[in-house]
Order: sequence, then structure tokens, then C-alpha cells
Amino acid sequence: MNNPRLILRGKFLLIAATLLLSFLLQPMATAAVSSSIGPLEGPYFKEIRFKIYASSEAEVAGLLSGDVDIMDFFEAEQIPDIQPGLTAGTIETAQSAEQGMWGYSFQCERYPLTLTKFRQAIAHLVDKEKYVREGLQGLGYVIETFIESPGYGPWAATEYVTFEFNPTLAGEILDGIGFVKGSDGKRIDPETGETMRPLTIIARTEHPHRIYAARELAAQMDIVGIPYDLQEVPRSVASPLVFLEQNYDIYTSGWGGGPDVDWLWDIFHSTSPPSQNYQMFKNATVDAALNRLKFGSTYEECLEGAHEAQYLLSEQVPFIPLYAKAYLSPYNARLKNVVDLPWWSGVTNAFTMTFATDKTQKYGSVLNVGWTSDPQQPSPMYEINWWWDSMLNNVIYDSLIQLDPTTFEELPWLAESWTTEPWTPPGGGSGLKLSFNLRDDVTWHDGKPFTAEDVVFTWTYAKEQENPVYISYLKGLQNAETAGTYTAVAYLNTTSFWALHWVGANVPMIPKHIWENIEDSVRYQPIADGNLIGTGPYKFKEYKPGEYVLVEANPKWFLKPADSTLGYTTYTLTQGDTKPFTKKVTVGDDAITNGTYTATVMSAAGATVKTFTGTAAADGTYTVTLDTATINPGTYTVTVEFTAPVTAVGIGSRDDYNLVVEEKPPDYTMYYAGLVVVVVLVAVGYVVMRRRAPGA
Amino acid sequence: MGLLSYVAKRAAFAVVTILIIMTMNFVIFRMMPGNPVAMIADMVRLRPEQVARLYELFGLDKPLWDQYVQYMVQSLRGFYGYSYYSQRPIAEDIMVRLPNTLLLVGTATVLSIVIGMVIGILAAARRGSLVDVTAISFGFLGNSVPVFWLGLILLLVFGVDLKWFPIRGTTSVPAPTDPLALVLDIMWHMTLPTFALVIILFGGYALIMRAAMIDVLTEDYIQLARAKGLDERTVLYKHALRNAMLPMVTVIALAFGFLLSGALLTETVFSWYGLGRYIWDAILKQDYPALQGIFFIISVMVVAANLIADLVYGFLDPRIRQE
Amino acid sequence: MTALLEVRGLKMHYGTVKGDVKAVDDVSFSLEAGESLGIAGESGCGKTSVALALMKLQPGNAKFLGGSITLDGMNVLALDDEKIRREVRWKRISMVPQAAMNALNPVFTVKDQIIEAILTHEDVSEKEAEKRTLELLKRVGIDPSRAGNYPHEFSGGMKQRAMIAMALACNPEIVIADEPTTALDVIVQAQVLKVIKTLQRDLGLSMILISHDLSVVAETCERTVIMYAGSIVENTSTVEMFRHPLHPYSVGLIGAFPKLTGERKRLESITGNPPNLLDPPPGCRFHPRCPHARDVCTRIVPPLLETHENHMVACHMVNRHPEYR
Repeated sequence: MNNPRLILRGKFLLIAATLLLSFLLQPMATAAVSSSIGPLEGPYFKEIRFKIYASSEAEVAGLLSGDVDIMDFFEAEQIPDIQPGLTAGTIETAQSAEQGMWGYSFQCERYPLTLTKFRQAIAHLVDKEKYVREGLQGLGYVIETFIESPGYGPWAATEYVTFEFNPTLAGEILDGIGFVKGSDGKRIDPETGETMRPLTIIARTEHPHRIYAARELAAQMDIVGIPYDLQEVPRSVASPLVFLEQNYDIYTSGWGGGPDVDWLWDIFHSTSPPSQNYQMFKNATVDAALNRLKFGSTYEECLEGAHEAQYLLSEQVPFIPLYAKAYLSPYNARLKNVVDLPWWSGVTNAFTMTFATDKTQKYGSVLNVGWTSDPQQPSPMYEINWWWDSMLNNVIYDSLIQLDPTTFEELPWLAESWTTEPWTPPGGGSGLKLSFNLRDDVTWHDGKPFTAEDVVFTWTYAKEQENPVYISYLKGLQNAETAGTYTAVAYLNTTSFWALHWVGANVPMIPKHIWENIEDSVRYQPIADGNLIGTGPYKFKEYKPGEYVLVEANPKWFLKPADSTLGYTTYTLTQGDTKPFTKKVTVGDDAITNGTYTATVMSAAGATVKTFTGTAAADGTYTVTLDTATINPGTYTVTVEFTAPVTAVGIGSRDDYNLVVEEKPPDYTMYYAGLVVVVVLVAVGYVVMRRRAPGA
Repeated sequence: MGLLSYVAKRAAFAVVTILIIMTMNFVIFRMMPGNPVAMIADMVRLRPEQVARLYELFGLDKPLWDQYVQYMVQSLRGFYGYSYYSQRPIAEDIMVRLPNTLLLVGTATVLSIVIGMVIGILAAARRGSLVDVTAISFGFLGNSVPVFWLGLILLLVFGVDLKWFPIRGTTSVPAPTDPLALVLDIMWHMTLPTFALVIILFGGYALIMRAAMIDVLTEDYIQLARAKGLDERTVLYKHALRNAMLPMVTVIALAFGFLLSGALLTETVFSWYGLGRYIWDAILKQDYPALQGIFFIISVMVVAANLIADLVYGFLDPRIRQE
Repeated sequence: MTALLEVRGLKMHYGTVKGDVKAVDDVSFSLEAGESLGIAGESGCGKTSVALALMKLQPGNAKFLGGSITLDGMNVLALDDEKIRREVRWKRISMVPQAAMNALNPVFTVKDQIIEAILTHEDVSEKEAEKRTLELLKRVGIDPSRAGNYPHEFSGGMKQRAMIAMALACNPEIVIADEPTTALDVIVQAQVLKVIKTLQRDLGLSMILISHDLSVVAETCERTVIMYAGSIVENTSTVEMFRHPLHPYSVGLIGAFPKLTGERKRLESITGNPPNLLDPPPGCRFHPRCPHARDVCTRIVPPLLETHENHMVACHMVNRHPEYR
């Protein structure tokens, strides 16, 4: 495998050359980003409707009826429920192996699990094939090491220690370390000379296969004479015991990892917090290997570290990898070009939402996404990234770099190119200087241009706020600065191979003009203020709690196909209606009142139909009102423009909208009047009838 | 005088009941296993200091007694704390969902009471006839069908196969903007859940009504009413019903008391954005403050409904008024 | 002269799962205008069934198997329900029902219940009806200020009087009083009976008084009918009945009844119990208990014959044993 960094260097030169050429030859055409799944450009849908279902049964019904195109969760056990759709050909599926895994975690600080031999003995009690066959009904794969899923490619260890299913051998190992069988068949603890204490096995009830695995293990432990206490409990009971108190011996764990495998460090490094390394595993040799994996400065070093760590972990057994589930991700057959991401929820991901389309309608179709939860607090800065919030964030916000969905290579995104140079931190040591050259054609959803200012702000803001989601990525950030309008530079005190991903791919860009006044980034709910504003392929449109979230295509997105017919926000007004636009302009603390704010209505042919000029208030608020009274019914474009001679170049903004002026519809007053008359008649009739009734 | 002291006695009893319920409400949720912070920690793998912050945020770091006092004071002020999950004030969460639940469960309750009563009266008036046997069998059947199953069947038949009614929600996606269209849209969406609820509920009312009517119809004053030459309708609906209503009043009042608890499963099957679904979600997520808040409100409603039932009883039955 | 009410050969059975209950079997009597008729007999002998049949208020399982009821030349049994309801019930025949205590609907005021009766049958204003109601109540001795009370606020006697007032509300020609005083204590009983008697006389009402209590009949009625097991056994003027009862059952009944005046003698009682009407004895239904029964009595139903002037009796033995008188 080649070093992607080298490829990138080459790619950079290529891109630079292409850019130069295209600049010379023709006015900027929208360029697609090439990736392993083909050129990336989009979006094709005019709108995504995230529909909230209160039960997964109803969501499946929605998939069958065509109300849902893709859904948030789908378990292989639900396949019979969608069989009618599969048979009729209205539903297609993507299938692959889960990029996570299930296994047993050992609390390595609790005797006798402190003994590696003891843990190895237990590893010989596990019949993984049987677990997949019976526990998963065949819908899964046996896993021997941590990052073995096919998607991880070369990162999977080639050498690791395996433990065959052999209870006799397990018994011999136990005998060997002094845990001999007593007269009652139970093993004797050599330290006390009495029957050993029972080991607490915690299994979470919401997944039947976890219960299966726990019971299987318990049965085998019984055979070799290890006493146990099997606790089958809901997540609410299991979570505090495992994640907060580490009060357990064996736990049926589940892991889902992202594309970057540096997460292995978080799970087993001795300095990782106990809520993550709840195995309480501390081993200096493993730590060293993990450090190379996480902080190695080259791909090779990281790869070596990964392989070494996997080998050592397989030998030390703080965790027994068991299996990964196969999953099946159904989608409406009308969709084309869906992208299946194994570490995400199958086809339901931002790639599909942005790059897939409808077979019969290339542009302007609607994508319906089934959700089984409300979003909680969609925000790029919220500490608890609720699954559904992330889905929303991922189509609204962009990062500088995108990772290729299958090769995990860096793709230019908000940054067209980047350079990595060695840098010496002020205190000495070695570090990196990362320079990102940004696209100059990106605007925020509110019309403001996206610049290096925003990038520097995002990094420093997230770091200052100690945002729990991003702090681990930005810990090494020493300084950040702009170099011109479209170049952002980050100085890091680490030379980790992953550093480019940490600052480039893992932190979504947020607009400075909105977040600079937000004091508590974690508690802020941008959705409440209409401030869910990013640069992404979709713009937030509406959230109706319990019902739906709507996002609409961003017609200005930088990867918009050249032939896209997706337009701007359309205001449909009835002739005679007015539509006000407002905007507040301040520079620092000063309100800017000498600007001009205009709304210009243009016909489809480009002729100016009417221009409205706004007024400014003392606090810098501008209002311009579009009045359709004298505009004939038809379709127009509206440009709302602001300019103010503030600095040498002035400041300004420009927003474009579509305008449809409709003829006055029939007046509903008559309806209501009619309704009132009927109600009154009925009431009067009732009263009259009642009065007569006694005499009748 | 008599009436006034009757009301006062009932009201005082109601207040005491509510205070006891509030305390139990608090105790039950503290006794339940599980820990909301851990659930969050599980999702994002928090660091210890973040865990501590969450404890502080939810007031879980204080002694139990302080938590209790704070809970009582806040509840009485109409503040039920913040949801662990949405992090919004619970009163707000409840208020958003309240109209939907009142609309759906209110309509279904009124419909099933009216239908149940009419069927019960007719069945009693024609006791033993085909009408009686059919109505009562269907009532029993509906009453014993699991609502989740019934809801899914309705969804699959009328939503997926026939496509007559929507599969989810309170409104279309997106909701229509014209007010008249919105009203029709909501009515269209509530048809199936209302239907499911009525099927489930009417039988109970029909049976109670029937039993009460059969009792009353053997009374002497009913024969007298007939002897007076009153037509059968007046006999049934004026003379018999008014008396047979007495046991119904309590049942109806309780039905309205539990209105706010919504129809947990029905709202869940049909993705109706109401309080029933809120309770369901809160249970799944172990959102104690949300559950505490809503249980408190439901308790108050039930106690109030009981009080109202007592008062209506007094109105309907002059004998009680006197006592 | 034709009677106001003429019952001929009325036969009514109740269908039950065990078979027909032969509650009323070949009952005939007539009632003249202004006459007061008492029907006496043990409970379960069919008195109330006859009364209900007069207004066609029989229970749902009742079957008419024969006979006629003629009210002022009009066959009541042939009328449809609606016509009965509008034209007969309460308008021409009203009743003071058995157990009047429970006959008032507890949830309406006494006044309203009387007004309702008036408004059902007469096209008068509510005000007019109320005025009449208050007058009626005054007439039966109830203070009009109590008119707005609920039944439970009335004493037993007041309820009974209110019932009487209600029965008179539509100026009926016939009032049927079914055990009007049964549940009352003796003093109240006397008061109520006095009211009934006075009103009947003053208003020229025809009245049928049903009672198991012979003294009540004796005190109130001009004519007495004795029923036994669904049939009339004797029908004559009250004076004649008490002086010269002919039927062995009447004799026993009257004998069982202590006289306050007159010579003291041993109370005669009738041995045995009334028959089960599901399967009454053949022939004379009284024969199993009759001290004078002969073979004929067990086979042939004795017809009700006018054996003496204005005195009808149904007994095979009545003329054969004059010594029995």
C-alpha cells in the first residue's frame, strides 16, 4: 500500500496545475472531487425530509409504502418484515460487515483477572463459530483482532495470537497457575486456599446475541469450575457499573469505530480515562505500541504500531474479540448511486444524501429519511452527538478535508489543497505546520463568504471552549493564523500522522459571525435561533418537533454539478403580499448605518423589474420590504444586496432567491362565514327542538 | 351550606392525596435502578470531570433530602426541572405536546364514551336480542385486542396497502400552511389512531352502561314513566339514563383524568406527537425529571377528575347533595 | 247501560325458560263510571298483572292468549303502542303503582315529574302545567312550597300522596291504585286512604284498588273482586262480600282477617300454599286447598256465574251446599 500522504502531495501539484489551467482557459466551472466511488458532485435532491417515527415497526411500514427511502436503523432480524418490498422489487439493499465488533471486556484490575494466564484460560472457553451460528443466526463474522473488518484494509494485524476453543486446555492452564478444582468441582483460589469468588458477568438485555454470548460463556465456566454471577440487565443498569464504576468482571462489550483507527489508543491506553478504557488495562509495552499508532509521524510507523498493538493485545487478552454482525441496509429502489458506509448506518449517511439521486428524476426529487427519534440538540459544538443530530450536522456542515468513503484517503473539500511542514514549537520539540488553501467560492448558508477567518475561529473557539468532542483533536494546537483571505495555518506540537485528520477532517467549520458571540458553545441551541448555518450541501429549513426536519438543497454548494437545475430558496407570494428582509450590521461594537440595503426583482430574462430600497435603524438593523402589489404573477429572481463603505474594500453581502408571484386565490372568508352560519343554524335548531321536546 | 362543606371536604382530601402522590413519585424514581448520567456517558465516553458536571447539572450531586425539598418546591411552582435529554424545561416539553394529546385522546374518549353509552343503552333496552349480543361481543373483542397489534394492522391495511391514511404523524411533511387545509390534514392524520382507540375503548363503556341501564330499567319509576305515556326515548334517555349515569360519571371522570397520559402505545404506533409518546420515550431513556413531571400532572388531573366526579355526582344525584 | 271498562275472558301468560306462567286466566269484570272496584287476593295471584294489562304495560315476555279489554267501547288490546301511549295511558287510565316509594324518579323534583305527565298529554304551557301541579299537590295535602323538593326529601306518606296527585294530573277517567298503602304505617295509611276516597268521590272517578289487604278494600271500594291463582273466584259488592262470601277461598280470606267490630271468633286460616302458576292444578285451581272439594273440582274449571243477584262466584259446590253459607 502506498503512503497516502505521498499521493496527496502529488495530488496537490496536480490540483494546483489543474486550477491554474482552468483559470486560464475558462471562467471557473464547478469541479467535481474524484474519489474511489467516482466523481463527487451534488446535491441532486431539492429537499431531504427527515420523518420522525415513534416505532420502528411504523418506520418499516413507511419503507414498504414508499414514505421512507432510507432509514436510521435496520437490523438483519427485520428482513422478514420488508420481504414484500424485496419481492416486489420496490426495496433494494446494501449488505456488508459491520465495522465494529462485539466481545468480552475484562476488568483487568480485579483479581484474578489481573492474571494474564487466567484471561487466556477464559479465551479458550469461547466457541466463536457457534456464537455466530446460533447467537447471530449466521448473520455475522468471526473476528480475531480489533480492526479486522474488511473496510480497515491493511490496518488489520496479520499476526496475532488465537485461542482455540478447548475447555480441557483452559482447565490445564488454570491448574498450572494454581487454580485447581476443589472437591465440589469449583476452582480453588491459591491465595486464600478457598473456593474462588464468583466472577460477575454483565450482559445487556437489549441485544439477544449479547445474552446468548454471556450464557454460553457462563456454561463453559461452569464446566471448568469457575464460579460466576451472571447478571442480565438493561443498559440503564449496566452502564453505570461498567462505564462509571468499572464494577464488573466480564462485560459483553460492543465497539463501533470510525475510519481512523487511532481510537484503539482510547480503549486500551493506560492514560485513557476509565470511562473509555473501562478494562482498566495498563501495560507499558502495549502503551508504547499504541503511542506509535496514535502519534507516529508516518503512515508506516502508525501501521507498525497498529499491528504491534494488536499482536500484544491478542496475547494479553484484556478483551476477547468475538464477532462482527452482518448488516443489511434497505433503501427504496428508486434511488441511484447510494453509498454504503460500513462504519456509519449503512446507506443512511451524508454521502448518500448528497451524491445519490432518483433514477427517474436527476434533479429536484425529495429524499425521505426515516428517523426513530427527534434530534436532540443539533449543533456542531454539542458534546453529546446524538446519532440523529450528527446526520443533520453532516449535511449542513463541511470540514476542510473529507475522507474517502472506502479508501479513507483525504479528499479536498473546503480546502482545495494543503501542505504539511515540520515546525518547532516555541518550547522545543517537534511539531507540524499545516496550511490549508481554501476554496474561494464558498459561502455560508446566510450568504456571507467563507474565509480563513472562519477556519481559524473554529479551531481556536473549539479549543478555548474545551469542547468535549473536539478537544482531543485540538489538544496539540499551539497557534492558528490566517495567511491571506483563503489560507488558514495551524501550528501543532505533534507530528502525528493523524494530525491532518484531527484538524482537517474531524472538526466541522462553523461561521465566526454567528458563534463569536456565543459564550457557552455546548449549551447553545442554534436551531432555536435559526442559526444552524454551515456551508454544506443542505440548508436547514424547518423543524417540527415530533414530526420532521426539513433541509433544502444549497444551490451554491461548491460541488454543485454544472447542469444542476436546483434553484435558490423560493418565496411563493400571493400578489399583494409583502416579504420583509432584515439584517443587522455591526463592526465590533459599532452599528453601521450608512450602508444600502436593496432588493432587486429581476425577470427570468434578466431584466430588472423593480428595486426596493431599505431603511436603516440606529442599531444597524436594515429592513427592506418586497411588495408584490405591482408585480404581475410570474416567476422572478430576487437579489438582496447590502453594501457599506466601511473599510477600504467595503463590506457587503448578497443573497439570491426565487420569487413566484401567484394570483390571489379565492378568499377563505366565505368558507369560514359559511361554517359559522352552519354552526349557528345547528345550534338554533337544537335549541328549538329541545324546547319543543317536552310537549311532543 | 351542606354543599359547601361537601366540596371543602373533598378538596382537602384531594390536596392531601396529591402531596402523598408527589412524595411517592419522588421516592419511586430514586429507587429505580439505573443512572441517567451513565447512559449519556455510555454514548459519548465522557471524562470524569464531564461526568461530574452532568451530575451537578441535574442536581444529582446533592443529598437526597435536598433533592426532595427542591423537587417539591419546584413542582408546586409548576417547574418540573429539565429533561435529561432534550435539556429543555419539562413544562415546555409537555405544553408542546399537550394540544395533540388532548385532540387525539379527547376526541377518541368522547367518541368512545358516546358510542359506548349508546350501544350500552340500546343493548340494555333490547336485552338478549341480536343487537345486544353482537354489540357486547364486539365490545369485549375490542377491549381485549392489544392496541399495538391493532394499530400495526390498521397501518398495514389502510396505510401501506390501501394508502388511504398516512402512516405517521400529526401532519403531513411538510405541514400545509393554509389553516383550513391544516385542519383537514390533522383530521386525516388522526383518523386511524382515533379509530384504533375507539375500538379499544368503547367496549368498556358499553358494558358498564349496559349493566347500569339494566339495573335501572327494572326500577319502579321506569314502569311509572311508561305508564305516564312517555315515549320510549324519553323513558330511556331521560328517566333511565340520568340514573344509570351515576356509575358512569366516575368512569368518565377517570377517563378524562387519564387523558393526559395519552394513549401510550397508540401514540407510539402512529407516531403521534403527544404526551403518551413522551412518556414512552422518557421511560426508554430513563428521563426521570420528565417522568416525574408528567406523572405529577397526571396525578393532579386524576385527583381533580375525581373531585369533579364527586361534584357532578352531587349535581346528578340530589340524595348526595343533601348529605 | 254499558260499563266504562269491560274486561272479558282475559288470558295472559308469561313466557319463561321453564314454560308459561299462567298468570291471568279467563278474567272478566267490568267497571262502571264512578265506581270503585277492589281486587283482592294473595300476592302472586295476578292482581297486578291484570292492572298492568289494562294499560298494556305488561312485561316483554307476556302473551295475550285471549279475551278483550274494552274501554268506553274501544278495544284496548287492539290499539297500537303509540296510540295506547298517547290516548290511554295516564290520559284515561292512570295509576298509583305498587311501592309508590320507589315509583318517583329520585333525580327529578316531584313537581317536574307531575308537570312532565301533563305536558306529555296536553298542549298547555309549562306555566299552566305548573299551576295545575301545585293545585293538585294542595289537593292531596302537600304544601306547594315543597313541590320543588326531590322525592327523597318527602316522607313515605307524602310520596304516596304526591303519586296520587300525579295520577290525577291528566284528569283520567280511571285510576288504578296498586297496593297504595302497603309500605305505610297504619296512621299514614288511614290518611292516604281518606285522600283517595275523598278524591274519588269528589271527582267522580272510577277506581280500581288492588290490595292483598282486605280491610283496605273494604274501607274504600263499593265492589270487591277476589282473585286466586290468576282467576277471579268471586265478584260482588263489598257489603255482600263481607257479609256473605260464597267461595271457600273468600270465606277463608275474610275469615283470616280480624274484625275490629263484631263478635270475636277463632281466626280461620287456609291451609297450604297458592299453586305454582307454571303448572296450576287442573279443574278448580283452589281444589287442593279447598275443604269442600269434590271429584268434579279436580277436573272441570268452575265458571264464574251469577249465582245470586249481583254476586258472581266460581265454585262447583256453591249451590249444593247451602249449609255452607
